[in-house]
Amino acid sequence: MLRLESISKIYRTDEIETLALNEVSLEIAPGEFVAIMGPSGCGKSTLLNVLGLLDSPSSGAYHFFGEEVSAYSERQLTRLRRDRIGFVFQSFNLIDDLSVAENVEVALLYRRVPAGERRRRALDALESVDMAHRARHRPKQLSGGQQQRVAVARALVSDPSLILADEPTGNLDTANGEAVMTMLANAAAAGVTVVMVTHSGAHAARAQRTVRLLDGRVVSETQMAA
Amino acid sequence: MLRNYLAAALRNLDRNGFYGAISIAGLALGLTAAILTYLYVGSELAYDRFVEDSAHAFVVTSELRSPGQAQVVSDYAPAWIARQIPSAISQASATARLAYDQVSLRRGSVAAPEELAWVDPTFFSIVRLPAIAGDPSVALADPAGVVITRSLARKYFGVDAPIGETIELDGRQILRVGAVLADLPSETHLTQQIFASGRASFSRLTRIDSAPSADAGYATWLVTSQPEQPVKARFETVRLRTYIRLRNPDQAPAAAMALNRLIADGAIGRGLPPGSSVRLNLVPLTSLHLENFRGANLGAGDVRASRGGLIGLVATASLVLGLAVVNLVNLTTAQAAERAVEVGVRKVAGARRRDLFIQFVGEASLQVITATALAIALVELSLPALNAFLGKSMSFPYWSNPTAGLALAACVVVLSLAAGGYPGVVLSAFRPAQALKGGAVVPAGPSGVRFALVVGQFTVLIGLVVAVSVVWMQTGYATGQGLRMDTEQVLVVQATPCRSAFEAEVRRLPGVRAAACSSRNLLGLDDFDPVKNVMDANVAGGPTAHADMGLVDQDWFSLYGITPLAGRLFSRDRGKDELPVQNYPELQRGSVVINLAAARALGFSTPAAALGRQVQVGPGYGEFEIVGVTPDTTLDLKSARVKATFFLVDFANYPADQVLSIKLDGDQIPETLRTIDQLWRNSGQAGEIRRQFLDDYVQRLYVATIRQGVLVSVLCGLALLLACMGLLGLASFTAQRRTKEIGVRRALGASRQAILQMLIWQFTKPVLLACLISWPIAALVMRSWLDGFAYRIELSPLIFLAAGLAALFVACATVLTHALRVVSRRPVEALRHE
Repeated sequence: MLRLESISKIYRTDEIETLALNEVSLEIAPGEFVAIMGPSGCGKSTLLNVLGLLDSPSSGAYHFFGEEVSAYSERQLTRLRRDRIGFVFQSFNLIDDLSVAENVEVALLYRRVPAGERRRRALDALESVDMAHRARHRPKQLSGGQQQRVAVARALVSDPSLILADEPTGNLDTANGEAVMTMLANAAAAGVTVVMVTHSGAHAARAQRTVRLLDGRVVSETQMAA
Repeated sequence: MLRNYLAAALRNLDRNGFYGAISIAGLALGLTAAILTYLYVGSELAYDRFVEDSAHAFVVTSELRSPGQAQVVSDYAPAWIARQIPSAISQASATARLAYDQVSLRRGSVAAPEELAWVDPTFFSIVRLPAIAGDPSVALADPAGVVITRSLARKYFGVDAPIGETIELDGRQILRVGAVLADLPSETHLTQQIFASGRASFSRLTRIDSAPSADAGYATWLVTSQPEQPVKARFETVRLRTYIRLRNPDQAPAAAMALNRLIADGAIGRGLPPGSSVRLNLVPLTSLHLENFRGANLGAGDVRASRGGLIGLVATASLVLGLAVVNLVNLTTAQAAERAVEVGVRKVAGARRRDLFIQFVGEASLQVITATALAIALVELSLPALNAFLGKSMSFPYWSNPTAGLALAACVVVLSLAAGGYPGVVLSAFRPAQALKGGAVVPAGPSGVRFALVVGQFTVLIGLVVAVSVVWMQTGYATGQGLRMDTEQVLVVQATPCRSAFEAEVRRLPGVRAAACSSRNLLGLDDFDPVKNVMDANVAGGPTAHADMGLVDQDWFSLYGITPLAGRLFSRDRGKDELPVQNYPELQRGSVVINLAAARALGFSTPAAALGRQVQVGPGYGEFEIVGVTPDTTLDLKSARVKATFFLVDFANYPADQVLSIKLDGDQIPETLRTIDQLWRNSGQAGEIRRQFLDDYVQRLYVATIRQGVLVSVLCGLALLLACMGLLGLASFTAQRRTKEIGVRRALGASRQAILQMLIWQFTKPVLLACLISWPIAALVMRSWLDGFAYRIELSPLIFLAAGLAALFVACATVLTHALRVVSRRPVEALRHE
């Protein structure tokens, strides 16, 4: 269960103050698949960062699976991230110097999972996204779609409670985009909470609920047909 | 976990091969230079440590303060001190003296001049040298006994242990080999290879002991020609090194105090010039090498590095190593931006700051370990050459010597932390949200630190360039012009008495342009004895000067190209110039030529004012008319002052230690040398001819300085290389980051030139700042170094300007080569770059 209560986020530089999120309140049930939409600059990515404990809100309360985390330290947030959250990014963000399998292993690296088990789980995750045959290749040797699949595997391998995806299909063609959406939907069906930022109405339709943002505020929530 | 880190590190290095290579190569070079320097300094500090039980061995040294002269510290002490030690110092379990001599040895067909040490038989119980045959401590009980090194044994006898065999000394005496020593390492103050018993009737020690006034005076005066007329200038000073073995080394200061009490009690005083004082010290044998002795250091070719010089060298090498580390740090932080995504991903996956810190320190340590391995290899490769240059036999025993190995390991740890710590802190501090936004993220601060580091590098570099230039210019000046004496192609032969058939024949040789006799002290030649020929002099109504008496003939000044500042020099046409045999107690009368320092010491404001004045020299020597004043000339440029000197033509009364200076014609030197050698043999003089080129001697005086000059130059060159490498790495990296910006500017109409200027200006700023910082510091340091020389070059601002320009040029050239490549790309390519 995720609950945001009047969350605001202000970015300050010496001269400018930007209100990225303006008193946003939102509830997400466990296992729910939510899409977040809105025009550029409306605060989608910021909302995702707050949800994913990558950033702390300037004001308001955030209940993360029962814990109130808005005032948590970086160390505490790191622990939670490590244990509960998986990320999929628009620009894949795979580490160039590591092989595909090693990239997936990174998600388990900091959990003190022994090496043998790590390798096994990574390969299993790659199997589930149909990329096991490229386990030894480098990210640069893969196409965009393949890289994103690896990224999804990385997000899934740690058995997270929550997956956050920031425009996961933004850099992919239709076919690959579809494949990734299917993986996310499957994860949601398996009980993982999935929150996805997207520009594509078609992809948003795969989610159970769409939340629209404008200028940092929630302007509408639409339930999809089941 | 480790494998993951290792994989990332290695592949990162592989991908960024260029920067990695620069960092590693630079660090390897810096480490090599540092290790070699520390080895050299370590060996200089370890002199005489091979001597068994060296902690108990001490040498008596003396400090002489004379008014008007610089303070002189020497490793010799009065000859009579040894006799007083048993009663004055209860802690002394043994005493021994060492007096050296130039002799000629012959065994069968092998004959050569050698430097021989006359020592008391107790010498080897104090200075316990390792022996390969016989027992050195008893070998010298035999008055004809002699102890030689293995090399000497092989040279004359062809075997290692010719115990009982004999060898001929100076064509007259027979010596018997009683023991053979292992060859002495280069790290020892002893330069002799043969030690003869002081008990021999013909030994120098015996001559000293039997001199009538052996107990009196600071320097023992030996009467030579006229025993009933002990005039000071006619005496031969005896220089001895006195060794003591103390039961308890901590008692050394107390022992020195006991000796100084003897002086205070008036046991000596007659031998010293009035107003002078002397203090004795006990110096540990192992510290002897580093003491800053001036004057008659026993043993020719004794070139020592001063403590100050060694410290300077260590500081320089450490600075150069610092430069290499700075390069590593700079390049790593510059690349930090590229690793932002990886850092973000790892943080998202749950990595703590600590995990990331360890990862990056680990990566740095990989580079450090590689560089260290390279450095070790380089050190091994270059040690032979360095040993040849320094005349040493150093080794780098990191595998057998636990201290060295530990030091190396500690060094790797420290360097890894230094090189990886800062980037590690910076990188692990990235906030994941910012880091993952994609594109380069440069946390605030590092670019300022990088700028400061580059400024630091160039400050060190410019300072070094200035220092090296000044050292070389001064050395060149000192050994050339600064002498103010024309020493080119001058051969000096030790000949006493100088005026002889030999001299007459040499003058007639076609290959000889000029010849002149003089006392040895005027040319140095191991004889910077402060007291030997010093007498009081004063003009009526003026202050008393303490002046060195020097013997010359009428050709001496012209041979050395010395012209008078006022008045005239000696001439054969003037009868009064040459002094007759003295009728003691009548005073000598005649002409004297003095140098500028003497004129000043006598109270004259200008050289001309001294002409025609009568000066009393004594006590009891004579009254002379000053006929000429010469400029101050000296071969000892390292002392800050030139001694006041009186020149006299007094061959009739001068007893010993004379030299014949021969100016050779450049075309015929080899034949002329052969002829001179032949003339010497025919003249019936005892022993081989002892001759050397004055230029060689002067060069040897400065060997230590020259060596250090070379070493510092090499370090400077290395610093230059490192600064360039670092700059190259940084420049290429920055240009890469600014590719998009450059593309945009080009698209908007900037010319290639404008972009070039922009890139070059970015890197000229730190160099200009470095100039401003290093100039005043370098000026201060070099000025104080130059003040130690009597004659020195001027610190012209051009030197500093040249150093700055050189650094600027280097920086521009380095950046330019890369910048040119960047600007020649088409704008659209640059804009497409992400």
